[in-house]
Amino acid sequence: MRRSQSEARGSDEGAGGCRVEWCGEEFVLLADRAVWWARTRTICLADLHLGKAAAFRSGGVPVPEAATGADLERLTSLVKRYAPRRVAILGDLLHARSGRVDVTMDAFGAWRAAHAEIDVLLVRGNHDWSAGDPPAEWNVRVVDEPHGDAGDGRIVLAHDPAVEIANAGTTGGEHGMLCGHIHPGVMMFGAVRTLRAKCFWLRPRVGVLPAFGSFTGGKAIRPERGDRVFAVGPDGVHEVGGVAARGIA
Amino acid sequence: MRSAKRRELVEGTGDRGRAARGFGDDLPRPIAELFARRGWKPFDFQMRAWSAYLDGGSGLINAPTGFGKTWAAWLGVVMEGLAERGDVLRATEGVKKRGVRAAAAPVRAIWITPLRALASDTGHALLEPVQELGLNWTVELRTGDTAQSLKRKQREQLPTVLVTTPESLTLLLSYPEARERFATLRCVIVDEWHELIGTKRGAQAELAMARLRAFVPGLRTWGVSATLGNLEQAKDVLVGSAKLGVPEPVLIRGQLPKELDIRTIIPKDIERFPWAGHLGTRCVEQVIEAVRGANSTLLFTNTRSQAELWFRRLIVEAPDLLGSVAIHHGSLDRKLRGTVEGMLAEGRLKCVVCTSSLDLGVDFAPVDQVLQVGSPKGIARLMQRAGRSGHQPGAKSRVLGVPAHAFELVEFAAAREAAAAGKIESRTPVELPMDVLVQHLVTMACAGGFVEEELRAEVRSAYAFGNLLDEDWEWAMQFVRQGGPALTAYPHFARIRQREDGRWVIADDRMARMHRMSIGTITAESSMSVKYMSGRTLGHIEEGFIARLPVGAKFVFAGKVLEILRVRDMSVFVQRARSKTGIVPRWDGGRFSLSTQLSAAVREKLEEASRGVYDSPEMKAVRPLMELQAMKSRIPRPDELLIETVTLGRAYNVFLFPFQGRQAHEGMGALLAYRWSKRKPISVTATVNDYGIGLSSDEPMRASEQEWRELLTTDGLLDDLLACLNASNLARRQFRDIARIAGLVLPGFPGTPKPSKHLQASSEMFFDVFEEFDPDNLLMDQARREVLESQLELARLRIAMEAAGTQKMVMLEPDQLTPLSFPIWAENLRATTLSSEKWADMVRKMVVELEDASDEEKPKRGAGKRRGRRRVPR
Repeated sequence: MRRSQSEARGSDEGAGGCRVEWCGEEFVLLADRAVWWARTRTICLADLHLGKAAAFRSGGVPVPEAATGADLERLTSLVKRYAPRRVAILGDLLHARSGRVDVTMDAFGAWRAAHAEIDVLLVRGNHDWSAGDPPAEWNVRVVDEPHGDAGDGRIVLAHDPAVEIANAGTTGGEHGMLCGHIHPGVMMFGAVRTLRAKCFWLRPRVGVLPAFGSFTGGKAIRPERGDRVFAVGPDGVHEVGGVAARGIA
Repeated sequence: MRSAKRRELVEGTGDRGRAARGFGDDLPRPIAELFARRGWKPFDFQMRAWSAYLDGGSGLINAPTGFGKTWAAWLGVVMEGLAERGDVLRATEGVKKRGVRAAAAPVRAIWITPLRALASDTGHALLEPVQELGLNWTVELRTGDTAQSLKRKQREQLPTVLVTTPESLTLLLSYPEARERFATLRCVIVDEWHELIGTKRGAQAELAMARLRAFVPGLRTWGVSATLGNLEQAKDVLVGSAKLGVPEPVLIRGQLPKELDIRTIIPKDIERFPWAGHLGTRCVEQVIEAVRGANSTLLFTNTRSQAELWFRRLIVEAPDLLGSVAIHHGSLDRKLRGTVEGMLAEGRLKCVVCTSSLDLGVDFAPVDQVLQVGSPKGIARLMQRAGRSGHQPGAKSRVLGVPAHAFELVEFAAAREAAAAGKIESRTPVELPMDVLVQHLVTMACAGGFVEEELRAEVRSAYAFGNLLDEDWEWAMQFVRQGGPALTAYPHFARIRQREDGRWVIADDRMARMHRMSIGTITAESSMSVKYMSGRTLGHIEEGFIARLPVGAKFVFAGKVLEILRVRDMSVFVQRARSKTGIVPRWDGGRFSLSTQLSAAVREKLEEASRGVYDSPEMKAVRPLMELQAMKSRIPRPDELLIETVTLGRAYNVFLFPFQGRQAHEGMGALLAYRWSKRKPISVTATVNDYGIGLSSDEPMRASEQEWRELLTTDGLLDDLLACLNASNLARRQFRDIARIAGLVLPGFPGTPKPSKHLQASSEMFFDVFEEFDPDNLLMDQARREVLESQLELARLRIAMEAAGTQKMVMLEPDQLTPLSFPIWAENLRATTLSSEKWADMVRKMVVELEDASDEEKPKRGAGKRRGRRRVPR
């Protein structure tokens, strides 16, 4: 299902990524539902929801564990491709306290051990508050939102965009704010059909990332004039056309 | 015939089960008096039913509504009670000490009703003879609506007669004391069996009855059913295979069906009458006239949305009817429904706009006339609804058809002929629903646990699982034990565990609680209660609908325009809105196919029209339309497959008319779209109605007759269908129910907080995660199977495809949409798209809707496609 990534290595276009300029910075929106921020050599991702499958299983709902492994593989391939200095997780690394079971925690622990040189930053999200901080041996730097010192203070990292969205995305002042939380998805309307996809939602000052985890749902967004929407599809990230010229396909 | 045995009814014998015996010409005196007081005489079929019951037998009673079917099934039980009056008297001695409830006779009968809305009426109907004869029996309801306090009392002691639904019965069976509590049971009676037989709830009821038969060997099972094409099979499904030496089950048929008089409102101006659309309230003036002309009217619609629309339309057009018109459907609060039913019975209402919530049930409140809005869909269904009028035995039942668009005139004419010829539909019983089995295993584990071999035999005695293979059983066990066949795939998962003595029991108390919460959800959509700020509840509405609406939005519900004030937990708080219009919710489900019998009858009417024969008022009315069809294109004869190609702006459309009903067409449409998209990169959207299929694309679609034959070939049919299930959303949609029943999606109930927030997920998420990481999961397999067999009606689909191979292909290119193709083109909901285009190319052609409050009232592109949004026409 997922396209092979070996041939795509090194080329953003080949990897299905999409280069954008936003809030004075350059980013690559990646088909693996993460952002590559080259200037600071940072990979940003949001809403991994590690242990969600395990939490469901311990609640009596069968969700295959394989989903966790696949997410970590995706992360590994991203790290191989970009060799980042830092991986910034914009909240909801862990899903729930009941999801902290060995099989899942060991999987991430092993991933961390294999990539010990990378600075892993977690901006606490609502799930992290109840699930608890990651174990010390993971060596994850945990901060509260909003976190400002990621890139000369020009870009703020957060989890929940709620306040900014209520204020039409302008309260960030001169800053841009990258965040997650809402698991954005987009409905697209064509001449004869509709299409749904997870998406990146770039408002003037607030950028919302799609959920990185596989076992996560999506919430349909209603973009406004001036927003840019990038749909994540099986063959890459594509800006959705016609946002400005609404109405007719 | 058992009644020929001529035995005397012996009173006072305490020997259970065999105490009472059949009777001869002489009814027991109290029963005879029961009839005499009403000026009635028992029917022959009632006597036969009572006799068979008293002989210890089981069976199915087929009688039209309003013909004493309730008493036919019930008085046998009552007579048995009379015969054992000695027991009853002894029991009453304790009344003063322990109160009436505790002193009542122990549980004796379970009456299962498919709709909880019917339970209360049923309860009254059953209680009436019991009270009149002075039996010391309690009759109580146990449904989702039952108060907690009564539920608690019932946990301690069951009533003598329990009126319940399949879900609530299953719930009762999930407690460890169930075996002990039901030990005195004599019989289970399933009302409206025809409603349950083709459904998973029917399978759930079958499993529950198999359980009860295991508790009480020789338990009698009775069913009451409207006329079906397969009554014998319906009887076999009801009684299951564990007969244990009781008399052979019997099928008892009532009197000849009542005479049925089907007429249709003929629109005044057929030229301007819409060719399509569900909202056609065009005939409203004539409907108001009909309502005014009768003392009482039931106005049946096919969906709850239509009921809301029609109710609004009636009171807007005829304000004087306000107060004497009411609305009744399954999503309204029980109290509101009860008020409406009560007012109807007292003759205080002139008209009730209703859905199937009122076409079933006990024999109550006969009305003067029945109106059917929109397609009758099936002959049995129309007869059932018609049966609500002219209740007195021998009276004619009348139904007045209200076409919502022109072709429904043809359907009413066709239904009249088919009904006269006795062409009644069958209901195919459900087979091997794995989700229901999975649920049942956990239920039984909650109920004190089970021994695998015993339970397997018991499950197999239910008709739905008669062909259960060992490997299917093993899979279901693995699923609840460890998530799936591979131990490593689902670590830390277990719903049941094995005790040292070998019994399988529920993993822990929390699991049991969660499971009981989910049992009621076989049909229940995750719903929110609609409330005023005062706390008064109006009813329930699907969460998905509310989720799409912002605070301040106006929608129509319970016949009122309501404004959303706020949404909290599982409640949406509303106030009456000032405006006259609002969005009408679309509830899911309820999109029946035109039955095979009715489709065939429609084709016959069209064939007559093609020969210029217009023999009924309806056909005379649609004559101009038929002639337009003949002029622009052609009226297809039964041996022809008509294919129309029409280009509209940038959309290229092809229409085919197999006349096999909506569901089979949905499968054919997906298949054709898939096969087309295999030929070249293209996105093809299929839309369907009961008559045909429309394929549209933004690329031209041209094919020769030879190519069409290839597209329509039955070679590789199943493989291609499975492939397009994967490529389309069909299986994903079907998975919603399965995920709920198998306990993947934890429901939120109105009035109770949602289960732990971190355990919420949509069925779509499960579908995706299974598809990618556990594609062999049998629940996925079931989703595909259900889509093929029930949703797409594989059998009918195959017939249509085979017919297409031999039919003469008539390919025409009309310059505009024809009367036949227009309704399909207008049918933009539930479109299925198959695509072989690159995703990026598709996205390039698409637009996203912007949030822009000022434009809200303007119609916008795509708005109609979103489910759940429909505006009331002014």
